[in-house]
Amino acid sequence: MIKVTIDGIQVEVENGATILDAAKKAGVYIPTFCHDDRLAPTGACRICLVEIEGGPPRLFASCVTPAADKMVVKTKSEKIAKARKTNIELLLVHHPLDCPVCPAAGQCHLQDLTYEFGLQTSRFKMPRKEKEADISNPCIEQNDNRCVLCGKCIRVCNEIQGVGAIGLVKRGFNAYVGTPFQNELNCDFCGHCVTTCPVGARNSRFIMKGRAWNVKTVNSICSFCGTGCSISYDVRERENLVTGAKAVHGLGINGNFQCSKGWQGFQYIHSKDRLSKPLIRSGKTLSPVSWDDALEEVSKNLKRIIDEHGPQAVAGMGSERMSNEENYLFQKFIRTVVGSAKVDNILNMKNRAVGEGLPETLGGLVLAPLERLDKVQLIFLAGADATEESPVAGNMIRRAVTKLNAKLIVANSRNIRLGRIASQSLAHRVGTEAALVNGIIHEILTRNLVPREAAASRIENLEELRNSVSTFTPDYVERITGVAAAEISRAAEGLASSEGTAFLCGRDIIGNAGNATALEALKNLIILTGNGNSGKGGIMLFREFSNSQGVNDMGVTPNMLPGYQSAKDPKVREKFEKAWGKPVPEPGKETGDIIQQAIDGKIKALYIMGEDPVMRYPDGQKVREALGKIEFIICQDLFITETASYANVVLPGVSFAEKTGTFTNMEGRVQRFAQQISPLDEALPDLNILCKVAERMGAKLKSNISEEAMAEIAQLSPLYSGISTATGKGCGGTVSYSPGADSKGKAGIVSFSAPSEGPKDFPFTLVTGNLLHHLGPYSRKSEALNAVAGGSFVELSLKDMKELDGIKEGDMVLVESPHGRLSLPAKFNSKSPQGVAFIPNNFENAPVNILFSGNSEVTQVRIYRTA
Amino acid sequence: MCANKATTLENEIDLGKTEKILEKYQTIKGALIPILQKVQDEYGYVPEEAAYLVADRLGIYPSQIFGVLTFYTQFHLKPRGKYIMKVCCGTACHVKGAPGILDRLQATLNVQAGETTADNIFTVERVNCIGACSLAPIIVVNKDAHAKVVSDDVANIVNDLKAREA
Repeated sequence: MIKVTIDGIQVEVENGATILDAAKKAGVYIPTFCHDDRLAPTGACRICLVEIEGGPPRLFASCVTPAADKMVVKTKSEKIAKARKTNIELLLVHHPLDCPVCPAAGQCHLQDLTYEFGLQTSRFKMPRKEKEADISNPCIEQNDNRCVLCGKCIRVCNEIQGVGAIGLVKRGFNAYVGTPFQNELNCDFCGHCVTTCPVGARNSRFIMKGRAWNVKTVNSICSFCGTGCSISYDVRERENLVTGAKAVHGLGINGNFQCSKGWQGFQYIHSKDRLSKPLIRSGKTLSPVSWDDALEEVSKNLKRIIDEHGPQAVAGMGSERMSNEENYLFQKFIRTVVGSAKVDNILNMKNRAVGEGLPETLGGLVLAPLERLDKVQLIFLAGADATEESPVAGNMIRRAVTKLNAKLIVANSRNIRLGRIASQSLAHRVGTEAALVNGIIHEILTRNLVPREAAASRIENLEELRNSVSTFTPDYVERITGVAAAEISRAAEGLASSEGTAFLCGRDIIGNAGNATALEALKNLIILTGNGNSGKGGIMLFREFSNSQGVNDMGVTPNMLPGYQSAKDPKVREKFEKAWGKPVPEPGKETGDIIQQAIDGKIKALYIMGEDPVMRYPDGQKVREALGKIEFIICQDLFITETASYANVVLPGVSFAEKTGTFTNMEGRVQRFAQQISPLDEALPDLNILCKVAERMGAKLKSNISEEAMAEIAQLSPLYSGISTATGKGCGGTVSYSPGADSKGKAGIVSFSAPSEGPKDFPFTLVTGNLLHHLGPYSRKSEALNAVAGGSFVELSLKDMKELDGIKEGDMVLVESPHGRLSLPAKFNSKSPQGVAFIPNNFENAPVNILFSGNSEVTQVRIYRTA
Repeated sequence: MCANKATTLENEIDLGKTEKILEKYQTIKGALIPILQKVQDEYGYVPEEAAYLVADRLGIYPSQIFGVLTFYTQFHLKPRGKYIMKVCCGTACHVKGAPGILDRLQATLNVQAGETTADNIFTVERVNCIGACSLAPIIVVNKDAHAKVVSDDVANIVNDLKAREA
């Protein structure tokens, strides 16, 4: 520690702190312009000049000058004031001072400084730049006239987002911010450059106008993926509008990171497609009706079907996008008001092991928090295109690798972007993850890479594990997976020697029931390498949606009541019956999920709250057939989704901005999102809708208030017992799905059968996933996101494209599986492995799930050029 | 996104030459400018594909390389002619009639200063003082200086070079 005196105030600061840091500590204000706490200091603008007593007679930029022991600093003097003022005048040389028409007015740092220093205009007369604002980009408007070349946009792009899409071009008066070789802006559209620009030089082309003084900010949680980023939203209260969004330094688990969905995805809130009134089907059309009529239609039909076919003919589908409280109330509605045990969610229907079976699957392992990525030596990323699926988590991985020297091993059947910074890429064949991991375990055990005693101390049934992987020799695994034996050895060495490895597991493994063994094998590897619950490493499971975790925690699953309490256990049911004052039905013995049961004719009515199974259920043909067979479908959503077009009644719920509640993210972190505006048009908060429907059916669901619902959850589910949204207790903290702290684990025995060779006439393996800019039906209602990613495509390797009679980028091709066909433009990925095709699952006009069948989102296809 | 452009373009230029340069210099810290100079020596300009390759190998962003390339006037981003005709327009040459000479040269070759003829033979450049004021006005063609030029000499200089090419 060193002692520094700032304007007569003595403070102690760390060695290496700057004079600006010391001044902040002393509570002395120094104006800054190019400085940003998130970025490396550059000392470019010279606004923060100070004098050092007894030092050289010149002035020093306090943001880049390290403080020294016994240094005496003066921040106010005539000399300083004059220099600062001159520097602001220099910043203003070209600036048009067009504040009345500038979107940044009121939140512009240059405006503040100009005002603070009482400047009318610059003494330096230069012609103003009279360039038209550049709107060649679909999303970002660049106005060079206002740019003062502080370089912050460039620095955030380089230092935080790690994209480096823009730079300073030319020099002197001709300098401007531009892309290399004047190419089109090719970036993530995270919006950092826009939200960081201190003046109005970079703007979103889609942002709604809003003067800073008419805008209040509301900190909330992003409604898209399972990372659970905190976002600060701009709200114009008087007009009831959400106008902007950005990540804020130090706020939430994401800290400085934001992605394109976090920045502009919120636009769906005010989409012109939002439902303003309930809809009832008459014939082929859905027509707007009053709430009264809609509720009558719902209750009348539900009652009739219950009378005619019994309550088990009614099923409910909860949502990975809706809050814990809503999902809780929804399953309570289906179980107690309808009296049916048939309640489920898509994630659980896809893969029970990570849905209602999660605690059992984790088998003692505790989900590691994302912040641990900053501390591990090695990251093992399996089956996840993190950059596209969970962009902020992907960025945390990138930061750990490029800034904090972690090593990265990527195991993926596609060429993913993080592969470029990986120390090792294991490009395995689709669906062979389990064999790959078993091969690594075999290497570790046979070569004693983890010392025998250590292995024995970690795994109870070590011999059993050793035997079970004995056939997975490097050569055998190479044959199955296509990964060179030497690479497998190298990965084994890396994993065994690392002190602290984070294992991240994505949709290729957890979203796919066919791949359940891979997760089991990975768990064995985690325990064997000492990353069980030691705290140095750990397991992280990517979650697709904001509440994919919570919907299962809330018991929107057939066999588990809230908090993974078995509905088969009479004692558990008794506890819930007592609390709810109604009988809780026992799970039925039917085979297959509710879609299968609908096909079998057992489901007559389906209540779908905030879910879009037509797009999300893995087997697209089957779900369409099932919905066609159901007599009465209720959809509660913001839009006429693909699913809602099958509905008999559509009830307009509200977006996350119009209500409060909690989402549980991929870490098991329960985070509260805050209401920003009041409900639009006649839409009702979803808790209200559930209560109103229940009331019509002659029952009472106790409370439509989110805080009270959470109190009920906390009382009934030990998992959430510490959480209260009324007092804020436990919010932002994580819940634990495992007792944890068990140092010794039991290895699961993994059987593996190599995926069968596809039929010869279907030579390509097709996989799917989300794109960076889209997730679920809502992102498609954001104009900005559609502008940067507007349509589907099929991605192929360059070599495959050449071999398919020279298909070029953009050519239309037909992708045909044994189950369906899609016509799409081709796109190439130069490093993609041959024989693998990828189609994103985000576009309702190209539903990739019609190509799949069964419970697997992988299939064999053939591809040929159309005309 | 932000794909490496060099791999997405149909490669018309021989990147092998850039590879050779990189082989020698890519591990040396601070070698960006010498690398770019050598690249320019090879191709006569710095091709976009080569710049992307250099970025990839040095682990810096193409935008940063573009910043360097546009900062220094020594770098050229478009192919240049076989003969670079530098017309000095420094003070002494200006007084001695350089503007007229430049006009004549531009008219003769039908290009503006900074441009290259369609056949890639001549590039006309307007340069500030080259430090040979006693020889003003002066045109430097590659490394040959033509001193005390008058407007009527321009056609001869051009025709001589054209004859050499024929």
